[in-house]
Amino acid sequence: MSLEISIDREKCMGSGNCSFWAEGVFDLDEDGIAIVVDPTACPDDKIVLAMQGCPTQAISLTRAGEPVV
Amino acid sequence: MSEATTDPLVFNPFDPAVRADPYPLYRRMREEEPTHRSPLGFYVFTRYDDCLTVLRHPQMSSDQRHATGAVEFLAQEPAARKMAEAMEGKRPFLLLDPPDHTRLRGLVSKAFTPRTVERLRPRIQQVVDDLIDEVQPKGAMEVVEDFAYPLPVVIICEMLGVPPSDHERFKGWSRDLARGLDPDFVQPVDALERRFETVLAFHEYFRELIARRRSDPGDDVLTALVRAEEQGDSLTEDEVLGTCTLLLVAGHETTVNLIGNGVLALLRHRDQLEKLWADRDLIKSAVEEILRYDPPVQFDGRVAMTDIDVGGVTVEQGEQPLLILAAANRDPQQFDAPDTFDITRTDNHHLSFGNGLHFCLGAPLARLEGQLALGTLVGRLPLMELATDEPAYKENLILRGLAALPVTF
Repeated sequence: MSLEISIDREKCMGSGNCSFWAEGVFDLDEDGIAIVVDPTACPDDKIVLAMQGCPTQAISLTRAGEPVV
Repeated sequence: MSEATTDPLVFNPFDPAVRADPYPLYRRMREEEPTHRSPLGFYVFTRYDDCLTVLRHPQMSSDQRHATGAVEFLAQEPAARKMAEAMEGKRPFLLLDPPDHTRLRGLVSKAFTPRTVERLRPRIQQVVDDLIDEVQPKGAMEVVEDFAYPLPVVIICEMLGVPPSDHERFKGWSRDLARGLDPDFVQPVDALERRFETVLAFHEYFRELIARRRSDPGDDVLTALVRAEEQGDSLTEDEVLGTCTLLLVAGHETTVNLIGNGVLALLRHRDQLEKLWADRDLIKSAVEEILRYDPPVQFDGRVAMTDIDVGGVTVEQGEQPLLILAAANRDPQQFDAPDTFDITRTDNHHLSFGNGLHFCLGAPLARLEGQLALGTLVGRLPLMELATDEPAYKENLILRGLAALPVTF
């Protein structure tokens, strides 16, 4: 079952830290807010690191409807 | 129990032994008094969770003007008052809260995204190679002066649009402002005076450069800020001055320390250096480990806007808790074997870039500069060795960096 990634655009302040931890999965859009470009670009453990490493806790992950923490 | 641990716990970062190696003291504080109350009247937090709580709390302000005692201090100390007046309207976003922080940071953030910074890779690599070409035939160098300092200076000046002919004059200015980051009450009056003169010099310099960029625009951050200022009400000229000063100083002093502290850590841990030689891709996690293990920015602080509970104590409104990020980075609750320098760590969520809304804007640039500088140095100078066992540190408290680091190769 794959990870579902969601980004809270209100919380995101565009640090870009997510794209450091999970390169290719995240990028920043024209407004400098994080977006998911390719959820399969990295193994899941890297995406979990990106979620943990978000300085404003703007990333949440779920797998089969259950939150991943 | 050994004699040392029965001594009363004194947090004195000026002690020469502490400056050489502050980590035993940080450890004692974290273990014995994690919510240490300084005799000067503020809490000192050393646990990872407590530092994170403060950094992420929406009612913890970055604007020291909210601190109780700030007004009295200004009244008593003329040098501090002059500084506050000179800074009026020019406070950099590092020292502001939303919405001003958000607005001003947003105007420059595009220049520092991972994607934009990645485009600088060839230029950074070229500067690194040129600096090593210069010293390689000599068989020795002083890492700070010959290598760690020039790289970030050249890059941030090029990003900002500061002409190469002006780079030299920033050296002294930047050093004075780095010392000036420390709390006013720990600084001698002449240092406060010098900081004041330096801030004026910076503002004067940028005022001229702004005028030049109005008629002669470039492809740089300063020109972009000038355009934003001209196009409407997004920022004032004073705010352009404050922003430029911040970017220049932050771009100077911190990465210098990252590179210097990094060379030292790698040369003191040959096993880790050998791992890096064997797998050069480890440079990415190696730079993160250097940041965790010996952070360029040791402390951070906030002002409580209301009474806030942290780690079992209450920080009262107007108080300024001190966060020892370098101690949090060694908290065993967060990091396995925290005192071990291990360049292969994967889940390394150190606090060396801060956290929350003020997470370091320059992190992608610092990371790339650190990776290219240290990765190339290690590859090209494999015989590098420390020329002294006990290199001296600069006097700054907040910014931890070597005064000099002589090596041979």
